[in-house]
Amino acid sequence: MKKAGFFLIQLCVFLGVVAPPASAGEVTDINYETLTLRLYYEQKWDSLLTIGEEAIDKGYDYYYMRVRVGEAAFYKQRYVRAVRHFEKALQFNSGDEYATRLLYKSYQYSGRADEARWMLRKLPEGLAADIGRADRKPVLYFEAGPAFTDHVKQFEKNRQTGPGTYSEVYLNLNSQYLLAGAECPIGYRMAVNGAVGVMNFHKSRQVDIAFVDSLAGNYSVFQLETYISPSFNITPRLKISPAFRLVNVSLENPLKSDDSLVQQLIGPSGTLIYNDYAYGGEVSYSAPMWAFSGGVWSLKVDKLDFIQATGSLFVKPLGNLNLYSTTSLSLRSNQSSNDYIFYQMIGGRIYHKLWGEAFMSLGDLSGTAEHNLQIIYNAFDKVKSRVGTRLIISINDYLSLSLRYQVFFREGTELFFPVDEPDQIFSYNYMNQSITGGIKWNLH
Amino acid sequence: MESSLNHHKISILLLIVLMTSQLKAQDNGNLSAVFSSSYTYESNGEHSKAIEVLKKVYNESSYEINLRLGWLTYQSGLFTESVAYYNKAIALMPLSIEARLGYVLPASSAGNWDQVITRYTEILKLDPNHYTVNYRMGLIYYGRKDYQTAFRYFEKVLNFYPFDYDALLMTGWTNFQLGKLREAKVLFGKTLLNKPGDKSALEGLGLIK
Repeated sequence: MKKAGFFLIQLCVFLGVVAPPASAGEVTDINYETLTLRLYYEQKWDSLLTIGEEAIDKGYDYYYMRVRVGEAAFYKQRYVRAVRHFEKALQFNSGDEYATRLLYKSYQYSGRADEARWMLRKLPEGLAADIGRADRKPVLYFEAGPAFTDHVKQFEKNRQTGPGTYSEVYLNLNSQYLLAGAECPIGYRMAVNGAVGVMNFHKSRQVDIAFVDSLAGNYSVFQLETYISPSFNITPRLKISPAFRLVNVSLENPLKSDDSLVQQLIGPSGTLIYNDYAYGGEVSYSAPMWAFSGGVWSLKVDKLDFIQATGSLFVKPLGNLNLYSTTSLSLRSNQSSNDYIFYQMIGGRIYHKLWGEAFMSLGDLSGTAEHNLQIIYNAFDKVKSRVGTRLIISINDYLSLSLRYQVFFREGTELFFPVDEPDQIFSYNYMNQSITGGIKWNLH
Repeated sequence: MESSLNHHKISILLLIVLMTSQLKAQDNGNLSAVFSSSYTYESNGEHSKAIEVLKKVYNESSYEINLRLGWLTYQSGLFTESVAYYNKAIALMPLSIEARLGYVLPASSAGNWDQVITRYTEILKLDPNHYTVNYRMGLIYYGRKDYQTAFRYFEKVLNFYPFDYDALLMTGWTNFQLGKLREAKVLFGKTLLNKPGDKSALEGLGLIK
């Protein structure tokens, strides 16, 4: 008897609530109440959406009408429209749990997670805790995968073969990548995203000094990366996210020579440790069909200083995540040059719970960062362009798996001293391919 | 000459008064017949005809017609129209409690509980001890799981009607939800005195033991 239904039954008995009789249709041309109720029971969502919105336009605007029409929009995956109707429904009946739950889901499914969380702030504590249980728990994510390259092969094809006195190259071999992180909510307006990444780049260094010595050796560049980014929602749609990334780089000089002059040329042996770092932040504004973010970051990479500014536009033309795209333009600036990087991604639902994305970027990525410093390109070689694809399987609202494949078109260099000519840096192209598997789990 | 003119004036005035009162009586007679037929149609379940006859003599400034149309359109399931008629009735008689009680019928049927709360709050300003309104407000907040507010309303009803079945039972359940089990137990016990063997009260007692 203490169940929620009890009070409703009592209330209905008291109010003498009646069901509309069939004859009511005689009074007006269309009895929208009867018609929309029938369409609702028959789950004819298309018709209900059309007729219901027509009814609302004509003034038949009340809680049940809004909930019916909102639900029709929800099941047709028109989440922007669903949000509009559920918001209005809650103006008629602010304490209603049913409309609140659907509004929350509509926000979530249309990629408006911040607005969903913001809404929870205004709910009674018990209801907010029930609906937004997952919003109060951390999201854990983990990514790992190898990368392969044809660098050595392309170098052998393109290396300088003419007479020279000195040649030096750094060649990339295979590498591994691992990242683990968590997005931890603090209340409903703040969150902290923190991650630790480990990368191991296998490399080779070759130095040829004509008539003196020919040295080659493999070595590893080990990177330990830490990332932290708190985010603050100023309004449901406006968010500020400062970010900081520290990259600890550790590498060994694999070459040794008994000749002191040669050793001087190839540098001291032993381990070299230094830190790259980046800091900055972005401001993002989200509307129902789009979101814009702009950010500025300062990067110290391989002893070089860069300033990067990026503007990104995320568009959901259907108001849901069945089709979306991101377009970004970045400016990378240092003392000597300004370079632009263009990024385009298009994604959408391929099948029931499977999403696919394809992306590409044009412009040198080295010395830049992506996704508010979640990725930093601190390798020496230029990354001229990149194409990639990602598959995401959403197991449920809390767990998703992803698989990303990327091809980086890079430019390798060879320092070469031709005979009787000044030293030159010769370049050639090669490719890096990376495969990354990921898991994202929202504790709840 | 002047006195004859005055006589004429008085005669014309009397004639006008007589005609007006006759017309008014005729109007009232007509209206009475219209209301009567609308009651007949309503009792036969022909709500649309009951509405139709009233709409033929519809006068926007008539409180009675608006109130009656509010009820009939509500009975027909035309909640939007019903709300509009009740709103007009309230505008015509701003202190009317009956029009407000009528208004909550279509508003609650349409699910607009915030509007219901607004009207009930208005009624409680006019009549703070209104039994029905206090009890219903308690039910609304109980349904919203706002037990503290619900208790405020139920307690008031219970103070005025200490042996009322509904007030005893719902105050008992509200106390139970607030964790005041001793008070809830006493109230469920009193409910059983009013209605021996009441299932809800027994269920409550069962949960406390």
